[in-house]
Amino acid sequence: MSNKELDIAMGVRPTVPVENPDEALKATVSSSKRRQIERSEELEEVTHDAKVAEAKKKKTTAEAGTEQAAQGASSGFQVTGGVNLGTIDYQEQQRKTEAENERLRNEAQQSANSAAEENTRLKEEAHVKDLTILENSFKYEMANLTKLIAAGQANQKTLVDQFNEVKVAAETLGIANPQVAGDLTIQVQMKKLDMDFQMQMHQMTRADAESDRDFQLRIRELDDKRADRQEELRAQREKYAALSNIPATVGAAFAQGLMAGPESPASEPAPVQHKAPKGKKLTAGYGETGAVPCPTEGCTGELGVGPTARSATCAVCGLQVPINRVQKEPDQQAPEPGGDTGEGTEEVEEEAGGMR
Amino acid sequence: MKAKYAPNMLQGFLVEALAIKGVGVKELSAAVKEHLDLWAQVPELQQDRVRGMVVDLGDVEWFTPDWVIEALRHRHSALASLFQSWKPAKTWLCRQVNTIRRELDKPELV
Repeated sequence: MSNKELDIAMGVRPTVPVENPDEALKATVSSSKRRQIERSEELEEVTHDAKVAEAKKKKTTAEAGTEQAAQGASSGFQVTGGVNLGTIDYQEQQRKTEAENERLRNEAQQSANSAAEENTRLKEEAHVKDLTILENSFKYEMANLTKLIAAGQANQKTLVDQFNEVKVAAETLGIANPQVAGDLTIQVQMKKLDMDFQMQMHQMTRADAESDRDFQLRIRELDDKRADRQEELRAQREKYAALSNIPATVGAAFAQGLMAGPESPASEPAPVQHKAPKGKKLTAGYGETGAVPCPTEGCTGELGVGPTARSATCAVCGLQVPINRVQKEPDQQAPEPGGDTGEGTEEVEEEAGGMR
Repeated sequence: MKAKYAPNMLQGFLVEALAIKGVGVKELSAAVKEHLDLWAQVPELQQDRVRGMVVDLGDVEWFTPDWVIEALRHRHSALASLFQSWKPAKTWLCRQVNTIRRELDKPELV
């Protein structure tokens, strides 16, 4: 019952103005009737209770009289009478009560069942709600995380970007470098490309140098091998040539020996050594060696000059010529190898004439 | 017969060998400086043959440094001149002759 109805029932005039008086009147009448019915039901219930209490009282009184009568009979007095208490069917009342209890129990059971079902349903709904809330929360968090990650990735700035930001900040503060012109990003990228190009060129140059060096080493190794092989072949050729020339040499020796006769060459008288005329001498560098023709007219011999010899003696005519050692030019001091082995760089000269 | 013509045969052999080898004053000077051992240059097989030949020849007392100089005097006068005028060359020649004589089981020259 609402406060309004309660006020109406209690006879209190409503303070709020009634919009529809007819409906308010109908409501008041129905409320009065309902109240009268409730009062009559309460009266009936009170009457019924009073009757029950009176019946119980009469029953108690009758039981007490019966006991007194029984006591009086035993004592010699007997009182006889009767009181019509009416018909009270306890069994009927008990059945009604049991039926009522059964009904109430059923109603309570149904209420409990419905309440349990409602509870279960509400729990399920609450569970579903919780799951929905969790899911929504998870989605929301995931979206936030995705946004954060995207924002973090978007905020990863390169060195160029950071430099530009610093540049903008510096310009804002009024300390921008006026010498820097153009877009620094392009300049930095150009510098980077230039540096990469230089590095690649440097690496390529190094690779070329290494390849060239390896090639030169390889060529040198091959040259060395070729020289060694040629030297070996030359030695073998000389060896085989010497061995193959032995018969010819022996033949030549036989021929010379036979033509020379039985006399030994040592038996020939050695030429008498005599000194060269004054003024005739050999001029040679220090350590120089070689052979020069004998200055004696008509002599076919040669003078052998040793590296440290101070004089040279002709083996044919016996002329002994002193050697004057002088400091010569390097190219003259070191004659080219492989030249005429019999010819040296010595010179025979006269003091005055300068014969060469 | 062999012993009679042996010096001349060896002279011819020596002259031809030097001519074939192209030995001149410079080569000989280098050999003297390096103290080259001539006998060691001869292969062992040839050494045995030379020993056998010397056995057939008998006396080789004529094989001296002076004989070598005389043998070279006409065909290799420069070498002979070098041996005569350059003391190290003469010493080297004496040593080589002594070495060869020792290898041939002949008494060395003093």
